[in-house]
Amino acid sequence: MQEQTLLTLIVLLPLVGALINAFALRAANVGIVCTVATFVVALPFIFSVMLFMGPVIQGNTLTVDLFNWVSVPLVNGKEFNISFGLTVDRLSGIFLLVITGVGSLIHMYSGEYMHHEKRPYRFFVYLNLFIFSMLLLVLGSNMLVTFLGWEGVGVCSYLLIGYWYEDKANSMAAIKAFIANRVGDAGFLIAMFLCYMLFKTINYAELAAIIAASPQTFLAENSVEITLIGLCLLLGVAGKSAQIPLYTWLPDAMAGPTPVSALIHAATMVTSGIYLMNRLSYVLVLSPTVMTTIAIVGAATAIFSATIGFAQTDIKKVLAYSTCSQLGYMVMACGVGAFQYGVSHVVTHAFFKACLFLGAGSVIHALHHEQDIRKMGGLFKKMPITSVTFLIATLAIIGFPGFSGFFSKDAILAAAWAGPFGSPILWLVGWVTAGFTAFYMLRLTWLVFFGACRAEHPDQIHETNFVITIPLIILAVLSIFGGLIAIPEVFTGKADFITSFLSPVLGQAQSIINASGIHATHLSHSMEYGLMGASVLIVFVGALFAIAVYKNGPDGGEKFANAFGPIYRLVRDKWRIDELYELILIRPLAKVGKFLYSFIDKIIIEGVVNGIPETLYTGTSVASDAQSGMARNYLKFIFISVFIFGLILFL
Amino acid sequence: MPSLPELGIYFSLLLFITGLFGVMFRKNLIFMMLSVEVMLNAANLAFISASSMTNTIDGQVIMFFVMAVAACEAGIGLALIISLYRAKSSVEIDDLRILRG
Repeated sequence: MQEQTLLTLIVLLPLVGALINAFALRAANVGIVCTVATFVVALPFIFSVMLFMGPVIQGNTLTVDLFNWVSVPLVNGKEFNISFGLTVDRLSGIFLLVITGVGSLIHMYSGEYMHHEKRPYRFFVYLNLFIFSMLLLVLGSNMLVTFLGWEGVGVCSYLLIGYWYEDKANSMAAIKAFIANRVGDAGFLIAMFLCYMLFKTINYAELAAIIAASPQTFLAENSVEITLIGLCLLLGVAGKSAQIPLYTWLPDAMAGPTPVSALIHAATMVTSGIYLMNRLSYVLVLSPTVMTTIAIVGAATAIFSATIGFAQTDIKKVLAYSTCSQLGYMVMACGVGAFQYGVSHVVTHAFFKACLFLGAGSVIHALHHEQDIRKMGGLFKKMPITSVTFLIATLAIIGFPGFSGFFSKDAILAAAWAGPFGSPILWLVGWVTAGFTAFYMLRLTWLVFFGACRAEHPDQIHETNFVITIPLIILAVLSIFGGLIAIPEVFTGKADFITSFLSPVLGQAQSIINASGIHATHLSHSMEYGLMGASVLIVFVGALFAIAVYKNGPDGGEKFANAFGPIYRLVRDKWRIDELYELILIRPLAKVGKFLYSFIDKIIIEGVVNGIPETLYTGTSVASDAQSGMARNYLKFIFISVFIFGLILFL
Repeated sequence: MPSLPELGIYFSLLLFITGLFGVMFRKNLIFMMLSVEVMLNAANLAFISASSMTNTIDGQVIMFFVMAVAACEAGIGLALIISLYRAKSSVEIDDLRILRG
């Protein structure tokens, strides 16, 4: 089959699946619906592998222009054209594999997880639509197609968070996620407008060519606009990838079904910000201010959300804050100029975090929708497969030596120290966060799987069936070996895979960095071993500390918490950020809204709109009262008027 | 002392005003019709008086036309009043106001 056809099919199949499920299989049972939905994601996975092994690995860029999407004649006689184009290169190739691969595993898993649902087709339609939008996002050949996917994933995320919409809290969480995303989307839109204003194109390939051809003076003159583009993009990234200040929606998004949390809020959608930063790396690196801001935002998010993870008692909330924190790592990697390590962490994170979420889902499923980790414990013997896979994923996320997270995270930490925009302070923040991660993850694992069982009906708990455990096993294996893509140079003697693999995409950014005179610090091998040793050390400290505190169940944590008192309460309440936003943003906005409603709308607009007909009505009712319907009255009018006219004629 | 035809004109004016006020202020349809007849007869009287004042025959000819029309009008009007009474059990003019605006 032709490569172009393959690429088109990859995008279209999930859409077709969604349509089939939405219109033909409304009443079908979960088995059929899930099979269709999984098939239309698994087939694109096979196609993606074929593409990956073909043109992508050869370093070619494959582009398909499906149709001319926007065509507007301009005042100056030219035409504004945007084609609906799909492009696959090495960067989108990696995302393609992750989205369709992890996506099909999660579709399969959902078949079991959602089998109690009465009308499951709705769930799978949304999931398929999500995959379609996500593929558009990473395959778009210009910013507008990416934006279409960007909005699409936002809508699907909203629909899936609010899937159980009968519960008001879920609907509220969905609305919160949608609005927070909307703020970020506005940033992306403005960045797109500025890009067109400055470079007269929003096509990625043309943009890269124009920037490469632009003389230094042009870029220097427009440095304010370029910085603005970068900052607006960062706002978009902060919205989608849950960074400070817009991260608050992600923990609330856990109100959705667990497969959704795994697919959208851990593995794919939240990493689209990282994709965008990689895609537009040559724009971002033009402004050191932007790069530094990105790095600081990432580092701040990483450590800030890790601290909140300490005190959460909901199994999914802990994982959500950990996702925020890991996304912070990825954003920091992009910010220090090591874009490729952001991508490698996206890949490994997709494996281990999806595994963690699906494991959590397995536990929740077995415990009949119990999510409080204080009511779990001792599940290791009852659910061996879930426990082992969860443990592997935990070791991967905390960066236990040899597991995938170790390589991808240490690459980021080394870049934070030595990258072009890095500094030892950023490394320090990342290093402390690694310790925090180890602490809260081990706390979670210990409280759920070890110690005494605190569940209400311990004898009813048993291992979930194979539809759930097979994806877990596959993801656990990938969590172990996924790190191979980022094995650093010190171990192998040659540059790591991801750096050389993504060099065609990121080469331009690299040469811009080099041309601007900023250089990465060269790390000696001993230094690199030293940094690695330091992070292994803090991981062990964090992990052992967690086990020491929680070895007898959650009570150990309480003594620990009492020692900290107010700080503990602040952390447990998520630093009261939601309350702060409520105070400084939502309430004033609500007041403005109330004013607009009660004054502008009620009095001015409705006054005009209702006033005109009311005046007319009052005026005409006087005239219509004359039409009494009584013939005698009419006669009187006739007589009086004839009399008056006669009088006038006479005089 | 005015001549007889002049008195006829004045009397016809009186009759016409009587009929007009009858139409305007009576509520019963039959009385209204009678008042209309009075007005028609006032007009007839005016025609005859004018005819005798001018020594022409035109006024008397028109009087016969008017009497014929008045007879038709009385017949049709009474028939209408009867059918109206059957439909509404009333011949009061104030009960007939369904065309009110």
